[in-house]
Amino acid sequence: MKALRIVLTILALVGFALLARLLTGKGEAAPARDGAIFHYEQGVRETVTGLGLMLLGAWLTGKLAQLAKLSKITGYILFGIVIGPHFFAALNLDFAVIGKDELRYLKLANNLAIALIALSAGGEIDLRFVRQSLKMIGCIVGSQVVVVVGLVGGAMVAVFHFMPELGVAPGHAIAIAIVVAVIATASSPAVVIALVEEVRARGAFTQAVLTVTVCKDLILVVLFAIAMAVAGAMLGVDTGGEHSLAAHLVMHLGGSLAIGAVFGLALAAYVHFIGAHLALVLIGASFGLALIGARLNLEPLLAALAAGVLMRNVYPSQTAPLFETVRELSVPVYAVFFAVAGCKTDPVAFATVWPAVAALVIVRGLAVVLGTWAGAKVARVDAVTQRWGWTAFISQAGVSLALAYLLTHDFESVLRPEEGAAGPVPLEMVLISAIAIHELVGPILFKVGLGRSGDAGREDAGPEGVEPPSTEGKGPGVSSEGGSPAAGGAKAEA
Amino acid sequence: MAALISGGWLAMIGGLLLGPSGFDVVTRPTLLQTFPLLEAGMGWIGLMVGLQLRREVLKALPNTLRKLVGVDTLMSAVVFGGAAIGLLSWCWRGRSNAPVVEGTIVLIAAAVGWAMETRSLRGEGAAEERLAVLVRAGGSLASVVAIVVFAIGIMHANHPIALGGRAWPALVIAPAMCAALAVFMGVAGRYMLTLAGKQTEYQLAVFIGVVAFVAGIATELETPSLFAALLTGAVMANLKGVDLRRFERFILGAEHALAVIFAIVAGVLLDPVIGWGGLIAALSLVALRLIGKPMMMRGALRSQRARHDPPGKGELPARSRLYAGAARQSPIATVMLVSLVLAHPTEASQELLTIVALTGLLCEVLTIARRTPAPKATAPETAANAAAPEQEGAAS
Repeated sequence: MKALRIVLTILALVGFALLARLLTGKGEAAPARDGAIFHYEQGVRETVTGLGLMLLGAWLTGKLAQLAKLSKITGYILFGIVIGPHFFAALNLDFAVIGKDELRYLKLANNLAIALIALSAGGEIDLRFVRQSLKMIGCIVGSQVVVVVGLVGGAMVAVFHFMPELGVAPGHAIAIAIVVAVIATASSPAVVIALVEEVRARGAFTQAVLTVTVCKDLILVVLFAIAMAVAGAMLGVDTGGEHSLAAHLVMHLGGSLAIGAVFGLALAAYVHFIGAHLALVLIGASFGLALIGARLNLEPLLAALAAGVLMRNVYPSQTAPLFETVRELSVPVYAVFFAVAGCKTDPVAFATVWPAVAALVIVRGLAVVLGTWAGAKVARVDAVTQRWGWTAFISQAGVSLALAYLLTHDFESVLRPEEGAAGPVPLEMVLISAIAIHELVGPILFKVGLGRSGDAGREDAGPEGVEPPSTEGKGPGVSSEGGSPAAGGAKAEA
Repeated sequence: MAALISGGWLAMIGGLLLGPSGFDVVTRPTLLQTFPLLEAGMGWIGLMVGLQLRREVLKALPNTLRKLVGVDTLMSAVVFGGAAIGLLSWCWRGRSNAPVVEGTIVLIAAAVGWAMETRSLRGEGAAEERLAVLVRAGGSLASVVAIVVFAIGIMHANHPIALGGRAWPALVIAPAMCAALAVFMGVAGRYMLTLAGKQTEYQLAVFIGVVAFVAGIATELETPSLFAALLTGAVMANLKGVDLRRFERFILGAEHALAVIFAIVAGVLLDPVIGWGGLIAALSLVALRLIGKPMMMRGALRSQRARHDPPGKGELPARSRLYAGAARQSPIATVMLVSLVLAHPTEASQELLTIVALTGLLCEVLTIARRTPAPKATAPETAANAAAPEQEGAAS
């Protein structure tokens, strides 16, 4: 009965949006008046409805997913897939609740989400824990990178050889395969953080996979920049502008970290001295970060991560209310973020390139399992992390999509089989389809992993519910603060 | 200074300095790219106003207040409407009638009501307190009327809507759709709040979703988001089943922050170079407000007291700076004009925004700066006197 009510509410919301669009000419831009000082582009006005629909619909579908014992994130993504511009097109229906134009303008909400997610991820990094667990982090990240880059890179070279329709010439295969393999090492801190919050997980396993995911993201940004520069040199494509690779990296990474530090200090000062309207200030600051990042060609994700790490480790007690506000904002932010990611999934594209997608998904899955297990074994991490740690690293989302876009955008000249052809390049379809599968499967697997580790639900048990870390002395040396520093750590300090 | 800060005027000046007329840090196209969020903000304000329209609150409103707002609306329509149509016809001579009519209705909407802030004007004593409650409650009620008048102005000027093979006037279809939307979202919103339970993050998701959805549908119907959200808020407030107090507290908590954001946006969007026509229009409206509004308020309250209120119960001060406070423009006026510029980013809309902002600023400064005689205690402070504000306090 509850499920039926939820479904009816979703259908009514979608129906109302479509009715309004029908009455006003299917979202066509209204004719401009005389003396216009600005013209709205197609899709801008409809974005407001899209935002509301995406939020409410995704949230309700998340509730449905919960009733089906699935992760809410799976629900958010499924809703995005169904109302996105590609789903009904795949069924040969000229109909879309969220059109491509609107999706373009929902980028603003997406930027906000990325900044907030990164801020939250930064807040999860306890530098003391990182120092204590350097060996564990280094082993797991290093092992994953080596195994995933090796296996996926090799598999992609083979795929490019057997599928010439992907448009990768034999001479370009190795260079492109390296970058694809680096993208394959990425996992989604957003999914990990969102699921940890959803199931109220806390404990050694949770802390270990969270820290590894976030640290890996930091390393990935550097690794991707290097891979792009190397591939660019091999393909004869300039990706670094007028600067050398080292200068580009220093400016890009150093600038992002510096901006992040400034934001972190400013936010900490605001919370300490004023402390009012935290939600609005946080939203404003995240937008500011996204805008400045775009203007200065910096990495907002890295900047927000730096801000989060700084606040969490330098001003922990002062900024605890801020991280609590980030947590409160997490549901609407995640609902929109994952629904937008779902909207980008194109079933038609998947149908044309599925053998390559299947190869990428299977090989990456195996490589992640193997890499995580090997790294955890070398680091002598506890048996639970060795066995179930890989479940945290399957999911991919926003960062992977952004990297895939950068790859296909920067190397479009060598990736498009026919010059002047329109639409996405075939490799982009492969990457987006694979990421979509990881997006859907990842949360389900990680939820299982959290359940099997015994960490799920421990957040609600309070500090006394946290057992000592079950490591062999050198594993994740979780402090008495517990697993989720943003919530648990702050509570402990309080 | 307190009134200038709380009225958002300093924030508006800040916006002016940041915008294209100042240092061009925030360009108009950049600001208009944030259209979805600004429209959602409009929806937030509309919902905030609408949620106050609970049946029991409306029933508890004293007749004095209803009549006061009625007289003010009538005066705004006749006096300010007459002046606006004359001034705009003169300023925009050579243009078609449609923008003049739309501009006139928008200026009437901006003229309705007054600022709800009373701290900077209030004296002491129960009689002054009673008047302050009337000013605050009257200002709030008038803002509902202003939003409705504004919506009529916008919908009146819109293109007809095609339905069933016929073109219907927007003024017929759009309000009907808004009413249907309000009922639907009121019911759906209540249900979703039940699902959300007491968890703040879920309530936040529902609230932002409802606000954005309502604002979005209204935008697609070319109807002010303020109006559609006001109706939705009113429906939600009057449906039984869910305790909305936490929800309301959360919404109202952002009131000041939203006021500052919209004041900054107004500053960025307005064009200070409005020419002599615009300046004369603004000064005329200022003169009308400074002279007409206090007179209207004093007259309306005096006649009401003579007719209805038993002697000694509803005593109001004969002289008070609060009467002059009616000259101060309602903050909702600026929000409505920002909404107009966002909906129709034209030179005419920008000029109207500048006129209204200038009128508001000058009325604020002149009212606060004007020295009026200190309030006199008009009657002995009886127990009945002291009890009287409570009833209106509940209404406000």
